[in-house]
Amino acid sequence: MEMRSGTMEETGEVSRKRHWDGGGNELKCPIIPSQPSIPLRGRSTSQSAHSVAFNADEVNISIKECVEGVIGGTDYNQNKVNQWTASIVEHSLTHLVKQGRPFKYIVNCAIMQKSGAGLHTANSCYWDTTTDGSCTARWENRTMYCVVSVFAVTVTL
Amino acid sequence: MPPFNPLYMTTMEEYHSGSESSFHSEEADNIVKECIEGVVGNDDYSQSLVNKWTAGIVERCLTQLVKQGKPYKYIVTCAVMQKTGAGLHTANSCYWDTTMDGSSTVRWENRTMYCVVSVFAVAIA
Repeated sequence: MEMRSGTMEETGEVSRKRHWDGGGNELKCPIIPSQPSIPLRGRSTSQSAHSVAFNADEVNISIKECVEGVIGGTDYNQNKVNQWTASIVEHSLTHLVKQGRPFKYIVNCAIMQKSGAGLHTANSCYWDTTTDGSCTARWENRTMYCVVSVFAVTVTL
Repeated sequence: MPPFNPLYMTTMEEYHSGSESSFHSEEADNIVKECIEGVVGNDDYSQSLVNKWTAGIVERCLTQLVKQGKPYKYIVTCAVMQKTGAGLHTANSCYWDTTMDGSSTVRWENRTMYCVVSVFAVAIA
């Protein structure tokens, strides 16, 4: 097993340069635990060799849909934010589990009000880099940032 | 082969379990607190250093956890936020074997920043 660290930098200061584009795409991720463009098993370019690889792109899209569904179009509201974070993690997890893949999942969501403060997050994972994977989605609107991370660990049956 | 109980669980608090072969969150808490103190201690928030801090904290925590030699895969996440009065809310939800896997979250602060570190431990079958 190997150790991989990923550092993601988020800057909430509106007067400074952003570090991601409006579509939530990463502009900086120095070390990446596992990426879908690299086959997780073997060297073949097709995915038929391993049908249970963690597909970070797909997961990224479905997370963004979950987030839009819960907080799209709303402004930051301190009374509701706990409901929102709980909803986002629940919907994301349900969606992932429905795919029926042999993974255990951890979904983490952080919502921060846009106030000019800096928020920096990092994660590091000690796992099997050939079978496990993670994906982080960043979303924002006028009044808040939302960062959701999904970690998927293979279940050996 | 251990029983796999895919119990769907949502939590915004620490996970506690009484079973012997489960993850011990108190131990992990102590390890994490020491790592944070060691990396950040009494320093004030500094935008130029914060990336090093977050990376340093997760790597140090992970190394210490792995040193325990327990049969777990680990995921460590760390968020550092400047104190400005803004609200930060986090939640996590895990789909795993609740008898063997576990997590722990440590919240730490000093005069100028907050630091939230979560450790997730997944048992290796």
